[in-house]
Amino acid sequence: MSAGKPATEADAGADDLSVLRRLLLRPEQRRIAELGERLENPRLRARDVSRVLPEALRLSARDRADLGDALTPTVETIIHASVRRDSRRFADALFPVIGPAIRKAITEALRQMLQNLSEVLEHSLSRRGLAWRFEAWRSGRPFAEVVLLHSLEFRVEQVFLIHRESGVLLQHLSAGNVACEDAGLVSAMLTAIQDFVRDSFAMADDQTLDSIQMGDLTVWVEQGPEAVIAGAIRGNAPPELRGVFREALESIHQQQAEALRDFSGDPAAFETDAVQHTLQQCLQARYHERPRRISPLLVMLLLGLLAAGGYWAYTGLREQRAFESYLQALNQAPGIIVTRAGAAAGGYRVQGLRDPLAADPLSLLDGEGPLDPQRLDLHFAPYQALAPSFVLTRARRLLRPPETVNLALADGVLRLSGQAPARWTGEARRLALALPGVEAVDSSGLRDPGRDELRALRAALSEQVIRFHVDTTRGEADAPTLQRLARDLQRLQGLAREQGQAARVVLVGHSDATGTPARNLRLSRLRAEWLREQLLGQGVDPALLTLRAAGSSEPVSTGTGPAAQAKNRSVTLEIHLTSQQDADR
Amino acid sequence: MIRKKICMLGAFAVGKTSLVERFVKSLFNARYQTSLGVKVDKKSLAIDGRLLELILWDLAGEDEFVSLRLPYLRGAAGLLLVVDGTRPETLDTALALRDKAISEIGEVPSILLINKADLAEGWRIDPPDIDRLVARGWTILETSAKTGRGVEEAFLALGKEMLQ
Ligand SMILES: Nc1nc2c(ncn2[C@@H]2O[C@H](COP(=O)(O)OP(=O)(O)OP(=O)(O)O)[C@@H](O)[C@H]2O)c(=O)[nH]1
Ligand SMILES: [Mg+2]
Repeated sequence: MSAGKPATEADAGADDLSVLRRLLLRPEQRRIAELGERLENPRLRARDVSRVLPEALRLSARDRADLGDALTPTVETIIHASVRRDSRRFADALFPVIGPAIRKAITEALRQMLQNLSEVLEHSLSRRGLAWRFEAWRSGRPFAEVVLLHSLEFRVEQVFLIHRESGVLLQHLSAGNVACEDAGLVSAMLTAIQDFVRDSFAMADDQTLDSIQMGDLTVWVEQGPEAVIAGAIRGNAPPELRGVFREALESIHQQQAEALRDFSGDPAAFETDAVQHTLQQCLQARYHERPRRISPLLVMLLLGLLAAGGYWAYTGLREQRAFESYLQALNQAPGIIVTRAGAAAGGYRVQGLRDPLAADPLSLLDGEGPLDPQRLDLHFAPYQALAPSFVLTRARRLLRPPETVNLALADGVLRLSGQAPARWTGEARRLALALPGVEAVDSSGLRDPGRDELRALRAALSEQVIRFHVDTTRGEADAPTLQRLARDLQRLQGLAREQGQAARVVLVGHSDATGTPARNLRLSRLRAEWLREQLLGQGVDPALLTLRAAGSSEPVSTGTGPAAQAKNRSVTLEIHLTSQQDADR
Repeated sequence: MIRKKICMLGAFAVGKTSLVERFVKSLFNARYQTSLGVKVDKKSLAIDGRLLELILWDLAGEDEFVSLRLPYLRGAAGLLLVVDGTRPETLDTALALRDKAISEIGEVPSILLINKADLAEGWRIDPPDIDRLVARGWTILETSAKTGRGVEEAFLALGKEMLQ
């Protein structure tokens, strides 16, 4: 197509078409767009699949086998990984399945063991059991066997599968722990006996002797066309047992038809599990239900109970004694008062009062004694005991005295001695009177080291003279002297505060008598100011210090010589102490 | 293991029971034999590396009071015919018994034992008779239950023939 007009026409046509299409097909187009979105957007697709996945799995599992095949490797991998990561979780999950099985096996084993044990016990202790024991000793047979034989109703001791024609033994089983005589010979002899009887009494071939008494055994013989089953039975077998034999024989004829027909002396063909199993069915046994009379075992049990009762009474008595002495110990312990005590269900019950400072009641019990602490039921309500030791302990807890203080209590008087700050002493005197058991406080034995020191320090500081050269406002004092002075002032302030007092220090500036009074006044002020600057520089509290210029009006030394004059060019300290309350006011 | 029944056959008092007793350490007292007419014993042999269990049926010899009980022969895989070397007529009895047995149970390996070899000076069986039997294929051995001579060999020989 060439470019130009027709193209525009075509465009216009196409435009119309798309308009038309839009008009007609808009809903469908939207739907298609939506579907496209759902197919292409992984999140939407995942959501869609997740909606149908459970149902799909269900359907697939119901109708097809290959879903399981397909999933197996994945599931196996997951399980392996899970076990590797945290085998405990897996064990926990499996436990409900395996646990009961294990428990069941163990229970079964235990049950059997108990059964055996109880039978042996019963038989060993009964009168009959003793007779059997004697019999076992006499006959040289194991006791268990004698017990077995006597409580036996019947037991098929041995089963012979015999080749009918030759009397050769094909297979033989015997019940546990029964002596097995030479089976091959027995088999031949049984056959000979059969032959003999049949021959002697001119019986037909299919008529046979089906029961032979041999000593204390009865032999039941079941004849088949090719083979014979003979069972040696102790006791009286029920007639139903015949049926069991017959069925076994028939089953063997069926299983081993060929081997029986072609038998030429090799019994291996009859050593199969199937034959063994079939013959095993014939090895039946039944035991007498033993009448439950009062057995010597029971008597012994009762005796045992009596003995236990005696022992119990004995231990009970011992325990009672132990309890009584324990009560005594409780009553003697300071701070414990027993109000009620006696035997109670499961042991003994004690009620009373106990000072929290008293000893632990259980610690008063003789741990090695016959009274078990577990059997004691102790109930103590708290109270405050007035025993001096408790009052003192409580006083110590409340007053928290410094280590230098001693506390003593006599006739309700709390005596304080040693060293303590006056402040603590005042507080302690107030608090102590609130303590039960304290009627008065005597603190005359207390000394306050801080007060003494304060007094000494005050005296020393009042003596201090900081000198200046003629006509200078710069002190002669060197740095260490100033440092010491500053430290003393700080200590003074601290000690005063401890004593409940406020200290104030006046730096008094002086000059000698030479020069004019005005000049001297100014000089003395500058000197005091200099010292203050120095002291503040050493960290002294500004609130502590005030200044006074004395000029030459308050000479430190009244002498007129040069030495006295030098003393007067100085700053001195005035120490004022006022009680805190006054200072605050 | 192979189990085979063999029967001892022969006239009375030729030494069947004595031979078995020589061969087997008998477990049972054989009082029942007189009433039953048979005594059963068992002996295991190793032949060419195979275990053979022989069930020996020692049948009472015929006399005027006792006749052979044919049922005892059934299932026998071999026969030991015993002759008393000092009594020539027992050879005839043995041969007759064999014929009877064969007709009852069919052809089975048989060996002829001329017993009481310790009394050889008193033997009265004609050597030509024996040679004739040998020529007819018989295996014939001389035994003595008294000295034990040839006893073991006799049972072994029968065992071998039965296993072939
Ligand atoms: N000298 C000698 N005497 C023997 C020998 N074998 C058996 N006797 C004797 O012959 C007698 C009969 O022996 P048995 O073994 O009872 O003979 P049997 O063949 O079993 O006889 P029945 O059972 O009656 O048929 C006994 O007195 C034996 O001691 C032997 O080899 N030499
Ligand atoms: Mg005999």
